[in-house]
Amino acid sequence: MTPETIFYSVAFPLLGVFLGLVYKGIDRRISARLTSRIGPPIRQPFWDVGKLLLKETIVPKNAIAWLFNAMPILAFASSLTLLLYIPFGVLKAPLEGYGDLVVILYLLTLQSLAMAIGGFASGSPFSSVGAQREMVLMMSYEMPLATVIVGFALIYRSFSLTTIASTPVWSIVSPLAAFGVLLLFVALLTVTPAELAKLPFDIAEAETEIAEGMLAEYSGRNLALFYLSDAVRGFAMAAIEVVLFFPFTLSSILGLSLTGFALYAVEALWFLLKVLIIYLLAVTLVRTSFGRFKIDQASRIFWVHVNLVALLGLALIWVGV
Amino acid sequence: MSEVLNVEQVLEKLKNTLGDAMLSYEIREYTMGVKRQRKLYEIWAEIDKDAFRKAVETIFAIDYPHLHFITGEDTGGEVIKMIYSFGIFHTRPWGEISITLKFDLPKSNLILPTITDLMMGAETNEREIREMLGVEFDGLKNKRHLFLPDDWPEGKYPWRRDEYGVEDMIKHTHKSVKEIRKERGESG
Amino acid sequence: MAKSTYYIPVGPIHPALKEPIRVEAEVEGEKIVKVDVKRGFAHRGIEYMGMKRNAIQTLYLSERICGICSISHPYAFVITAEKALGIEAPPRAQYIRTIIAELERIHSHILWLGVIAHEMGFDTLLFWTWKGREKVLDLLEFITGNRINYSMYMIGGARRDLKEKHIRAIKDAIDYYWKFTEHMKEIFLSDPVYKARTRNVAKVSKDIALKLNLVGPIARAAGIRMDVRQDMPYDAYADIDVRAVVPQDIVGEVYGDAYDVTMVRIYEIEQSLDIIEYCVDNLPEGKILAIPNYVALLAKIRRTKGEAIGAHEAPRGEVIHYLKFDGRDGPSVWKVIAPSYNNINSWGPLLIGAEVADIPIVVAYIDPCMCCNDRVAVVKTKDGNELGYTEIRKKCLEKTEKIRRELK
Repeated sequence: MTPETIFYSVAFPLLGVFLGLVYKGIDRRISARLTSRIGPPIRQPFWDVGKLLLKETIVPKNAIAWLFNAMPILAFASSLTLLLYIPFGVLKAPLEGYGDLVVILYLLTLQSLAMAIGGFASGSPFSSVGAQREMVLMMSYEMPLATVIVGFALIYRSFSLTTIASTPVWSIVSPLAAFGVLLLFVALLTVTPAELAKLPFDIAEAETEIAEGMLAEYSGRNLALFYLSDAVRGFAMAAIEVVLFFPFTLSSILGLSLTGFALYAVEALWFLLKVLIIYLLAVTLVRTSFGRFKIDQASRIFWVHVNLVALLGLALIWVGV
Repeated sequence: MSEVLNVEQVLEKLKNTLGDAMLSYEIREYTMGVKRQRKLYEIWAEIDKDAFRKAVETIFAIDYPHLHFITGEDTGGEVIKMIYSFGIFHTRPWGEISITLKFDLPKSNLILPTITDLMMGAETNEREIREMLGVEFDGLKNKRHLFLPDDWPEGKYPWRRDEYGVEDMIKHTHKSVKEIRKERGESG
Repeated sequence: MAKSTYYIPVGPIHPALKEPIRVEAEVEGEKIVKVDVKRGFAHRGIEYMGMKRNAIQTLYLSERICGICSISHPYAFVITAEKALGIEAPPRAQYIRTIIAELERIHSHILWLGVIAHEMGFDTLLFWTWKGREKVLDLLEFITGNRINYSMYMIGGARRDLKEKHIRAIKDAIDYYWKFTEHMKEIFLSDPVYKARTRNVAKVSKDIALKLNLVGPIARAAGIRMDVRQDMPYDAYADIDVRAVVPQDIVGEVYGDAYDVTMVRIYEIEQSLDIIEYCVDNLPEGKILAIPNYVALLAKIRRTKGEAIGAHEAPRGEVIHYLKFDGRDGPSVWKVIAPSYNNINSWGPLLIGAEVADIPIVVAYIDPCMCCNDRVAVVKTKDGNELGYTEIRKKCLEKTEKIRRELK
């Protein structure tokens, strides 16, 4: 491990948390504008976190205290680790070579799992119902998510994200397989709101039904950690989608020949713009234009419709590659 | 669908089944409308309390009614005047006939047969009357308080105007600001 | 055996409830197996207070029973009192009262549509419908001076007249709402998520609706053609021949579920627009109060011995008042039945076997209106100073002035 790697592994999570909160702010603002409201300022999520950190952290009497307190930390840690696997534009991921897409899949699952366990541990009926719903939802969207990753493994014969990022997927596949990749992209876009617990799949947190569900009993520092990991997860998810499907660099499109710092700066901004577009498409727009599904309806959507799309995509790739 | 009767026929049916138990009755007419005036009818009947169940069954036989309300009035005497109001033929334009049954219930024997077996929805009304006036309903299954809190003191009934009333529990609800100020000795 | 059920308390404070009530549900997984509804968190003894006050005070008190349908209780009250006193409101007043009641129905139905959208997490729809609702609220403020609690009615008439500029504003609003309702039909009735969440949810059959004594849009959605405006018409409704809006007339079949309720409510907005149009076009001339002098009115009430029942079709269903005048200047007995009193009956049977996700919809679909709790509001200025009663009142007057200027 070089000093550079150590620097990156400190800088990336910090940057990721910052960007996650900024994206959350932009998301809230744009969603408000779409519904003809003014909306909060973009720095609002920072204030929210600051406020939560100052507030008292309450552990319910009938909660399993150590589990209840450990889960926010676990969720936050896994979301930070997740950041270390994502190549930002032309930058290499700090933990490149230590893990790959499968690890990312597990880290994403780990956060949902941490929230569900936290919900079960908090001893409130609302949290229990929320946690049950989260488990059911996880079981439903895991399959299409895994299919997407297998699809990429088929194309590249590798799970490494940096390999995938270095060569755009569209350039190495046949037209038939390209269509399959497109289907995988659609499946992944549908899974995104569920993975991030956003409308129309925020079933586990449904405010009007079970009063924020799994998070009902969380407060103060614990809630702040969940809030942060949620923000990071949103950013990371969009970033993964960009890396998988749109790894085009600006310099290759425009034929620029930048080097050194200028290259990194331009490519980083380009990357962030791509992430923002995906984020707005997959999260903001969707959560503004849908109502909440019921858990059985959501399950059916993932098991039948999304799965079908994903498997069809996989089949096309298998035939086409 | 039961046969549609006019107001005289309905009253006739009630009179026939109740006989002497129908103490007095009246058909009230109300004219409604500005440009085209038409009439609405109501039947107001005073009956004997023992014939109450029979009267309700008669109404249910004519048409499945809509229960308007159940209420009671305590004037402070020995009886509570119970008022049941039903509406029948209520899906027909200008056709609803409202039937109001009134009868005296002696405070020494505040028991009435329930009508929840005929109409589930009357449970709410009966539970309200039970807690507000202290009338027991024979056959009412759910006897928990409806509007009053679960720890409401036994033997206190808000609508009663005798020693079971709540006059002593209430301070200012019915006094004007002026009266309160006068009591406190403030200049109004 | 391990405990397989647990207990979910909904209320008295819960995001799904806009007003306090408690639903205790025993849940097995997502299925509800046992329900108990506890009411009475907002009961303030209004009937009791009314029996101690004079009739005009009680009229204003009746307006405070409900904040949203704040004109339905006074409407039923004045109808009952007029029946008992044997007086009749002048024709112009009868028409004005109908217009106000129908305007209120529009705002109340739109409010409900927004709330039900929020209950299923569709907040965009909530914001959009409520934005559309502002127009009728502004109109009501322009006519009566208040967004809610209009204080328009008086025993034997109405308190404020409609002027030319008011009628112009009403016509404007009618045009606006014809278009808005068209949009709402598209958005609510053809949205797949909305349909998925409401179809076959909170389903009431005609038979059950009768047995549970349900009223208003809920009963109509179940296919019962009942509407007080049709069965026992009063005021201008008697001239119009209102017909109950039932799903079998709109689409030919009845489910009696939350989707049908939505449909009934949206079509009732159109019906209200028709009624208002008729009333505005045929508004009779003349005075607006049968007994303009309130002292004389109270004296007449004191001389009267009599009782009556009166009903009004509120946005949520039938409001019934019973009044008895007995030598006092106020009612000696006053009984109020609000629509939710009967409609909450449906929660128990509907929730058993339903899912947890259905609770907010079952609870909200009848548009429950517990008598709203009284509360204290502290309003602060930008620099953090508290505003007193006089300043708040001044600000309200300023706002009304502003709307008046804008609408002119």
